[in-house]
Amino acid sequence: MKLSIDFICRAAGIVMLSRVLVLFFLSMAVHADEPWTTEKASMVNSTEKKTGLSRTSIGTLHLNMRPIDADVLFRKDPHDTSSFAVSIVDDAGKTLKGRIKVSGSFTRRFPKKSIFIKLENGQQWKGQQKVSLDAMATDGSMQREWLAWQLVHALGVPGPELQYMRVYINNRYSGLFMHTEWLDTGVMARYGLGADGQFFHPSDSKFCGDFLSHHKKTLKDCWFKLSPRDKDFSPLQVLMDDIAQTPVKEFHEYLEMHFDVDSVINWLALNVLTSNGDTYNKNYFLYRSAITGKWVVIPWDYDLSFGRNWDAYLPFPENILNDNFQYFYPPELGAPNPLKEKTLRNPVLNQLFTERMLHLLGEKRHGAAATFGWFSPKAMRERIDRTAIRLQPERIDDPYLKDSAIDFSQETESLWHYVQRRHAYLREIFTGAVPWNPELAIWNPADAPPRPALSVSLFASQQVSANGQYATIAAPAYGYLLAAIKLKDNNGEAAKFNVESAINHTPTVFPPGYDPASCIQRSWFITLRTPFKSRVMDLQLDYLQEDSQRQELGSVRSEQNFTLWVLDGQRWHKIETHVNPLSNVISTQNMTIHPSQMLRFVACPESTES
Amino acid sequence: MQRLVCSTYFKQVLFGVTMLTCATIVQAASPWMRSEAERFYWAGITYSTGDQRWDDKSNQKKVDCRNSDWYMHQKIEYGYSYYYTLIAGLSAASANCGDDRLTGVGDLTLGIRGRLDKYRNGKSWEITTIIPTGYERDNSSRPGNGRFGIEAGVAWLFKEEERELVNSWSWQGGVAIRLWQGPPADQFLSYLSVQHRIAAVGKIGMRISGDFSFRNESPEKIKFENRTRLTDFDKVRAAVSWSSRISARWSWQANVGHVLWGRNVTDNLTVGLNISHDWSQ
Repeated sequence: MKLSIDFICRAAGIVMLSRVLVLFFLSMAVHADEPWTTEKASMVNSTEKKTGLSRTSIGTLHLNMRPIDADVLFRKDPHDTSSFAVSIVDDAGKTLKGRIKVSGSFTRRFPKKSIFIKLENGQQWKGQQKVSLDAMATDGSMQREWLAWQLVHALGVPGPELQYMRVYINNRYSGLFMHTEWLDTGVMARYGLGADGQFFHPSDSKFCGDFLSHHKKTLKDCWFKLSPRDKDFSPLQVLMDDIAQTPVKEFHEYLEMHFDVDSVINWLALNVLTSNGDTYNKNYFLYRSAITGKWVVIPWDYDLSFGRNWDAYLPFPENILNDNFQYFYPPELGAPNPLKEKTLRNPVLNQLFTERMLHLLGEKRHGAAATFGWFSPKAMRERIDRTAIRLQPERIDDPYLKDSAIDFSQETESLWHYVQRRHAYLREIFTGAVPWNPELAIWNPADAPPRPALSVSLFASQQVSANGQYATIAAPAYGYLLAAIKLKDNNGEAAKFNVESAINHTPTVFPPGYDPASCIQRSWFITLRTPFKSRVMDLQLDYLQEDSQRQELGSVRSEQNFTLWVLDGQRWHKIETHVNPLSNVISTQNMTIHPSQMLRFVACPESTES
Repeated sequence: MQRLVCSTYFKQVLFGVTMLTCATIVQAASPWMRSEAERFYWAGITYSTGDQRWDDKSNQKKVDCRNSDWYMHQKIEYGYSYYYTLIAGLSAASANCGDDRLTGVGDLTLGIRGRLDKYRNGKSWEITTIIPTGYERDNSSRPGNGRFGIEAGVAWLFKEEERELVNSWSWQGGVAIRLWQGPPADQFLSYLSVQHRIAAVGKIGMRISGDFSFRNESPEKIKFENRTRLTDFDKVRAAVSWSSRISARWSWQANVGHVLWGRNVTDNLTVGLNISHDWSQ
């Protein structure tokens, strides 16, 4: 055969192309399996070089203060705002001087307080004059902010770097803190947005940073202008007017022209995934880049997300700090905000949002491989466990945590339980028989009708794979989780289960000697539909504690005392039980179920005294 | 003629005593420390009236005129650091009783407050200097004592609950010693007050104060010999108040008080209205 130059060139081109394709698919496979290395290595290194902050290692910070000031700092009246002289020794051994004070609002009441350091002019630590150290006092898992920001970075949204930091004051260990890079125009410049843009942040205490028309007159009360330091709020006023006047059907054109659309979509996606309702009128930043001429949304403050639920029926601080758990807020959750509403109601933008959600849930790929399935239970479990392993030894020496009543394993487990359930719920409403319709959404929580009574029986029938993973079984059209089952035997075959929950019903059948009013006000029914072979399963069963008015705890409120009982058709058996009161999940392991056998479960307090 | 002179004299005495006692009507040591760089401004107007007096035997007697006195008090506090709060105050008066009239600026007070408890606010010590301004100190109708003085005291505040919680009680008290350069007599000052927060509406309060003379100074040598006790008095006074927040940083208070018992003081009813503002840099 005569080898023409043309043939040789074509062959070489095919070989090269195939090599490129192989490398491309290999890199996808690596990124899909390794959440920690979802960032490109060069990006991580570049960020570490620029900020001095590492996402993978725990840093150390030494502070020096007068002994009396160090003694007083965390123990003084929580409402006092005084600062004290402090010095930091940087990595080069240079002493940097500044002032330190307690930061935060209601978190100041905790023994371990967040702190803020401002260095003297001309001095910087890790490239910044301001140092913010979050005590993570409201988050027993110490991961909520960390997880939220990892997703922010994975999506390429501009935002601060974070690093866990061991803080020593006068050589005495003061605990593990989260160092959050101070969000300023320098951070924006690092993302190519320039440092000379218009930078705004809603006031944390006014709850009116929401673009609603009636808040326009109080703009300067509702917002802080961070940069430039002038009193010109006209960019924000124009923005509010534009958002108000742009019709929903044209909103995609408006957003494309005036916003980094991705930042808006990602902001909404992040809030929906994490059930962050503490936003849309606060807890975000707006930056209009002078380079692009467009607004960018930067999310903020996720310590009360991942299933935490505000309780309208309890006084402060229990309305914020409680063990309520909620994962079924619809996508429109949160304060009313026309930017949110019009984005989600516009068909083009809603399509973008839906695709982003399906992508992050791992249902359908619409974007970079690095973020596909980022919020899948498997990926999140690995992420959560890996961070928990890092944090666990740090807690032993933390003077504020080592004797704490917080159960770290329960806190960490509740994060994963939330992801399981939230994932199942969102999957149902984005892909299920009754998908979410923004035109039927209630955009202002104040307009929501009274909550219906919760006494209902829900049923689901589902195939469970023998893949070593929990399968979540949600009620169709509700998205509400009834049970999660993991097959443990070596059968290898899938099995079909019927699951039914009698919700908010006092058990009508219960173990002898128990007062049913003291049991969890729910019964669960599990039936193995697949014939011929018995199966062994780990089982998770949910009960409700959405708030103090909507819960199934019965007359006994100490959830740790609940024990599962199972009626196998003939007699009651008490079974080994693990209760997570933070996520309201009761679980048991290595339960055998026979074909066509219906198991009835109730959970009653360990003592027979009601 | 003699009777007229005496009657006129008594009016002047009482007028002067009224001015002296009301010029220092601003409360004694406060237990509250300001945060570093926190500023607090307080301004109050008081109206005082009465036609009776407590004589030197603590008997109530009627006088010929009814005094009608207006006072304005101002105070500013500045959190110099976590450990020290600086204080300054000034009073002014516009008063009359019969034919006697007075308008003028009273004494300037400069002081410092510090912590008795390094962790908890509400336990403090305070030292204040009293500096006469340029009024004529020998005039029986004068807005202050006309002498340098120093006051040192301690004060406590006990709150039932965190201050944001509603329907809570708080108690406050203080004692101080006030020393004068020469006459007048040195004094022991004290007060006790209780406040009850009513939901988010405001606070109702009651206060009782006692100023007692040590009678340790030689009488002032002045024109009329029986004015020797002009600057030597005892007084127990009670007042009720209502205070409320106008905004996060502004508050107002109305109060009504009356002398319950005294020696060498007018038996005055006082009505006060004040406003306060606190802010940080």
